Amino acid sequence: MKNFRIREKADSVSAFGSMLLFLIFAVCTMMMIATAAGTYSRISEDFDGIFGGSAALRYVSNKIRAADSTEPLDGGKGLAVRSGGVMSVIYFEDGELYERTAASDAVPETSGGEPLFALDSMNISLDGGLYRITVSLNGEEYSVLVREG
Amino acid sequence: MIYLKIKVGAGESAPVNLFFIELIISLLFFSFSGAVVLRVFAFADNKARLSGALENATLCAQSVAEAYSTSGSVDNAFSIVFGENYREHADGGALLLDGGCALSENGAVRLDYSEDITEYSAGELRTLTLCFSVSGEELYSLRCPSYVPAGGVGGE
Amino acid sequence: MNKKKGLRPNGAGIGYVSVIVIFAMVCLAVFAVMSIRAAQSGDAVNRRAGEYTAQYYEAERKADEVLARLDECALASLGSEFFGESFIGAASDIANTSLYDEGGNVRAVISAEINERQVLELTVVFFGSPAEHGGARFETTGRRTVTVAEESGGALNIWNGSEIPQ
Repeated sequence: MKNFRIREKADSVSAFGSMLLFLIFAVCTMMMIATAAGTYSRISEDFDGIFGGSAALRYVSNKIRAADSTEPLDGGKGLAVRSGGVMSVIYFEDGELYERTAASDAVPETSGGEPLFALDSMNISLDGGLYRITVSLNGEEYSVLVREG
Repeated sequence: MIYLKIKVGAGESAPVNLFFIELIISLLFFSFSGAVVLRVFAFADNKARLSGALENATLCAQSVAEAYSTSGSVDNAFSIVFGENYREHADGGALLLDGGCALSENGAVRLDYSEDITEYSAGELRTLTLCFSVSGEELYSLRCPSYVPAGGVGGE
Repeated sequence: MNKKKGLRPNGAGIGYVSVIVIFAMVCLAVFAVMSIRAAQSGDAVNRRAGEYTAQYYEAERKADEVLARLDECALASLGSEFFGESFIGAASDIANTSLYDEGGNVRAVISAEINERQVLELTVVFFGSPAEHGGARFETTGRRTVTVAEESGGALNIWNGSEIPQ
């Protein structure tokens, strides 16, 4: 009888130990998965920033550099870029950067363009011969200066 | 449930739970492979952070280069890009910037700059060298020019 | 006595823990590979952009070196009677430059290679009479990047709406 009770106690302790170990294992797994998910999420956001925010900046910069002449639009909303008889109007509206192509002598219009990049905001200002282009995406702001021409 | 029996002392046997053994072995395997996976994540995270710093450094360098080409002066270029108070943060040809390339007292990114001047009979060709580094390792460097004619006037 | 009386159930069955561990490690390994790939792709794009920026300003430096030499020729030619002829003669040996006499002024187009596909084109007008332009010897009237095909005049063969011969 005494032997039986000792054995019962031993089995209970063994079961408790197993469950405790299993619990530790489960907690470690959860922590590791949470860390991995957080790291991947951060890397993925950076990835979006590269291919969204700074890519948009570089696109507009290269457009200005390749242009024969440029004209800022009112309100810092966008820019008209003329090159080789063609005018490209680059403007921001409703969370997207658009580009509209027209003849060089046409009046710049900010509608009917092709969407290029999804952005939170964009502003283009001209001061002292330098364009300051500022875009924001997912809470990150990117800014660059480009000479007028 | 499968049980094993092992000898404990003379004439006694104690049952050993296979589940327990499996749990220990699984934990061992999990800890080894988890360590490897965490190292991979740490490497990817570090690479992403450096890449983000490089991206901002490139944009910052371009802004400084454009301002320098327009103004012909390091002082004016830095004032345009970083603001008039950049001098308070300048430390003998170096500035400390944060990850977003804004001035910061404890920034992780160091910008070292120097100017070379080549004299011509009609003016000066000034070259500004920018070098961004993180923890002593070079992140990005750029040389940008500005030609200033003698007499100071030679317009854009 | 039944042998089974000696058996005491103790915890879950075997195999479940192994399945969970293997599943978790496969998920984590996939996450890790995807993270590495994303970080490397982003890094490659940023490095390429940084290289292009450095190439662009290196081309600008070469163009400014040519501009400095042209300015020396302009300064030397200011005293002569025929500024355009004198300037073009003095600057004829400067490479990557096209010079055009425009009745008292000289327009110079300086080309500097950025990379195998793009060229930086700097257009500068040198004045025969700086006094008429506030003392300035030259003015930069254009700076733009040009793709190599565009510069060589290569055009795409695009249908212009005319009748197609049978």
